[in-house]
Amino acid sequence: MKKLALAVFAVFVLVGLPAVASTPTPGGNAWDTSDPATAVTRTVEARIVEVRENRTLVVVDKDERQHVIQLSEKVEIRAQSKKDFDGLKKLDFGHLREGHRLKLTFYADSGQLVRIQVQKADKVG
Amino acid sequence: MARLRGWFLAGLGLASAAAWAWLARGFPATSSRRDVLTFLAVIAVLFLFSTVALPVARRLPPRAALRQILLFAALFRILLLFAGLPPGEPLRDDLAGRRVAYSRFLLYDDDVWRYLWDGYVVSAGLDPYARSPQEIRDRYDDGAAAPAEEAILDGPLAFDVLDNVRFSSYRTVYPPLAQLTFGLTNRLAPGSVFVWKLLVALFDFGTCLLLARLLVRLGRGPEACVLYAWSPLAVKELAGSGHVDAVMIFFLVLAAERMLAGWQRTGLGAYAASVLAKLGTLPLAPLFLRRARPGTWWAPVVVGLAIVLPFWRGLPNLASALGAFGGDWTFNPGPWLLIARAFDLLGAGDPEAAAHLVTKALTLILVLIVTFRVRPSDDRSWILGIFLALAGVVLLNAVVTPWYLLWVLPFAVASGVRSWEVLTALSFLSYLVYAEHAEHAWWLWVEYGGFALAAAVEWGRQGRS
Repeated sequence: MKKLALAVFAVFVLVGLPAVASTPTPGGNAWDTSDPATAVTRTVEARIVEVRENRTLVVVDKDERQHVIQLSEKVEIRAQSKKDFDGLKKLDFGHLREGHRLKLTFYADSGQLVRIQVQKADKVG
Repeated sequence: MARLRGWFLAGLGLASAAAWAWLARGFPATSSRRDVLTFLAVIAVLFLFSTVALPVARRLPPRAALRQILLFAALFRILLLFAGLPPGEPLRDDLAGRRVAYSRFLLYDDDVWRYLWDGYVVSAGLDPYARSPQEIRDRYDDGAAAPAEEAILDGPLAFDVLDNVRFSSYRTVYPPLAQLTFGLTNRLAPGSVFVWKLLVALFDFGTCLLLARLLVRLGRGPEACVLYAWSPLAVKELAGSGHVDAVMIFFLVLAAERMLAGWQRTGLGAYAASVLAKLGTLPLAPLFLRRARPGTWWAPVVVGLAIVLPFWRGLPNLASALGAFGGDWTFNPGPWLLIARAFDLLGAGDPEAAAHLVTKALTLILVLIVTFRVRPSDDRSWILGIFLALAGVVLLNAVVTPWYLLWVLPFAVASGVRSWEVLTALSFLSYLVYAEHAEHAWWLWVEYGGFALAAAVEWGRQGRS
């Protein structure tokens, strides 16, 4: 029985090899290159203390350290809940106000900012 | 000499613990190629340690060896509970449900957030299969949410958990027992990654204990459980990344062990629980029923009904969610890819659909062959049958995530099949997707080719002996 088990395995995988000849795999919705699912991101929370021109924000983090961030056009700005922005989910820089609590998402390897999310208005903490 | 070997085993355990501690707390785990390759290198060393540990443990008194193996197995799992918690983040924030303290990715994996979200839904008394997380979010935003949905999202943490759920427009695919465990941990500590991982680690450690017992029942040395208990794949994927598969594996090994002990009702009941934790073990039903007396067949029905009853109305939605998952996803495929490519070359309109159909048929045929080839009264033959059928189920799937290989690992260890261990090691190559953001052919070649080679060598050795 053990020999049969090993034989069946060997056949399964050995005949499978010639098929694996190109990339990407068929199907593959989960790992589409346009999907950032495989890019490790981190998030930090911060509060806006000043909104400047040229898409620049001054924020403080949870340890009250101040940071100046200039947003590129590529940075996506979203509302956590549409309720806070009259049904709008996607926001633009003009929506940002002093006192807004933000969640900043950036790529962990390069530190590049990818998304800003305005936290729910009634969110505690 | 035995004393020296004891120290050597302890040295391997301590070195492994140091590596796990670094991976859990000191390693940045980003998508940079350097980090991913470092991760693979450390994992390779950990595999080497676990492999070397077995011959060392075999030369020690069995009790002393098992004690050390289990002690370090527990230590590795405790260390990995902290994987994903950034340095300086207080654990008490996670435990108290004040804020999301863990990073989105727990050592290159983010499935845990779906479990936590499902936990909120279940403990609010809602049907987890009725709506996707995105649908609930949209209903909330549009003011159309049910009061229970509103209450979830008005809580302090749920929105942040929801933000981390990947593919949130898909409905959940986790069966009722998994949902009950999600709901239970949500009641204990809403949104806590640590509490969820602790539950997973407890189930996984339970599997280590049961595997040692199973090995004894099969007349093998219990120290072979080191191949599971110290397996880098088990430690990383279960305690580290928190995969719910630990629940299914625990109940499956419990089922097998109880069947061998002659407790057939308990065994069949535990088998039903494993199916309802994750449906991948369903094809083993003929093997279990063939081993059991027909007079005990009511046991899995009763256990199954008791678990399913609270979720009864959602089952059609679960079936359609599973259909969507089965049809849309591929990852790290082996034989499935062969068949899809063959249909592609033959000009089939939908090669993936054809591959799904053929692999399902092959799985059925394999399970039937194994079921009727094993001698149900022969313990070793029956356990090998479980190994073979379950390995076929996993290998013929379009999605072969590394942690699916863990379903099979206890039975590979119990059957003395070492080539599966090689596959669990090589499956880590699939983590290169975190650096490359697409699958590449060469690592599938190395993974499945390396396994084929190991299986062939093992087969050849068996033939000679």
